[in-house]
Amino acid sequence: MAPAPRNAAAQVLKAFREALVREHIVTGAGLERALQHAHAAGLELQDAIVSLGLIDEQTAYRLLADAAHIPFADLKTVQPSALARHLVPPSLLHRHEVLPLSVDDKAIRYVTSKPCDSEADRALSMSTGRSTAAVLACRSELRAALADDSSDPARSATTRKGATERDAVSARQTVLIVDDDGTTRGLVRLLLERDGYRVLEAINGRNAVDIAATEELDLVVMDLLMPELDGYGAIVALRSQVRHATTPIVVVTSEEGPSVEKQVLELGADDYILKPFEPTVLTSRIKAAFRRQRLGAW
Amino acid sequence: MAKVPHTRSESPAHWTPTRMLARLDGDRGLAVQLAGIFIDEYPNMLQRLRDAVIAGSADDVRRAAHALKGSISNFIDGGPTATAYELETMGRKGQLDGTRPLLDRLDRELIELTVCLREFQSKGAGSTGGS
Repeated sequence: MAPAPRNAAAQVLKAFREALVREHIVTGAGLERALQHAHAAGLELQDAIVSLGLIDEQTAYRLLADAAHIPFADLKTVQPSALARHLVPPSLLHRHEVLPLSVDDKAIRYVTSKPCDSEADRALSMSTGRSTAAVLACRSELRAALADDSSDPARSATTRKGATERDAVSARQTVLIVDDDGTTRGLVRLLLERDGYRVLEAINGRNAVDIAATEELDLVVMDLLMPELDGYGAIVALRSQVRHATTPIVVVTSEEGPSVEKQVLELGADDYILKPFEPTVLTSRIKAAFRRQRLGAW
Repeated sequence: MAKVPHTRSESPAHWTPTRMLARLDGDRGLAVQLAGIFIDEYPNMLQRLRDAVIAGSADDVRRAAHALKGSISNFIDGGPTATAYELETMGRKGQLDGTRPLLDRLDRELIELTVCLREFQSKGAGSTGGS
């Protein structure tokens, strides 16, 4: 994070505290109370003083930006490049509340509400293979920008264009991943989001049936051996719902053997893949399932 | 029938990313993210297995070990994958005697594996070298 090196975090906070006192926002005793509140509530200092009503969020972050010697981003002018959007998974943007600004061969610039956020910084660096540079913004502005970014038709069109380069079919389709193994869910999510799908997750068959009752699903990736309701039961339950009578179900399991495959296909699954799977095989099978559905072959 | 791990003897202490990277088409960024997800997820899965062993519930042992085996098999064929498979088999047969030493072994193997995965993560998405 070039503008505010991580090892400078202590100096940034020190300068921030001094600014709070200098600007008569808090007294020395008030600062101690704010720090105690921050510690007790698990908040950053800037959020703690906002929650105590001592200062508005915009001013807090402007002071923090001054302390860090980094520019305060005017989010109304942020134009995330298509390449930056393409390189960074949407889930990562929302999890860490960061917004890409620009990217080149060596570096990515991004907006964040927290200076010296090493976890977000590392995730972005790993995701893009580039060094990072942060630009500070207040949290409410950043959240609004992230929300706009997913609903703005123009930006959505950019996202869809990127997805189109991978798979013209996938951009608006929703896939539900059902697995009690979080690593497999995470891997499948990464692969599908990379191809432009909207992804939902369920941790067992019961959870999947509940989600399916309220969500429009285009395809389900289903594990078999799960607690509460296993995959066999979930397939039967989904097929009993009119809205999911023909929704493609791809079973992904380490339960091996012709009898297992025969059983899940007879229950209503459409395909069967063994774990650990080759990612390209999974994504190809999912695309094939969508193709067959479009052709009315299910 | 469950898929049988290839080898018992593969050691997580000598894990390399070669197989995982080959399976992910050499996508190092994806591999790094997957390693991160596993490091975050596996303690809860191991705890679920430990709880099942303590409760003496063979079916829960089978399910929890099965899920953990599937998770670990993204990274390694033997070692902890084989140990999780042994626990899954014991659960399936309803024979829980001897599960605790196996659980301890699995714990150690997973610690060794995660040390290697963290080292792999620390090299970042841009590195081309294997460990």
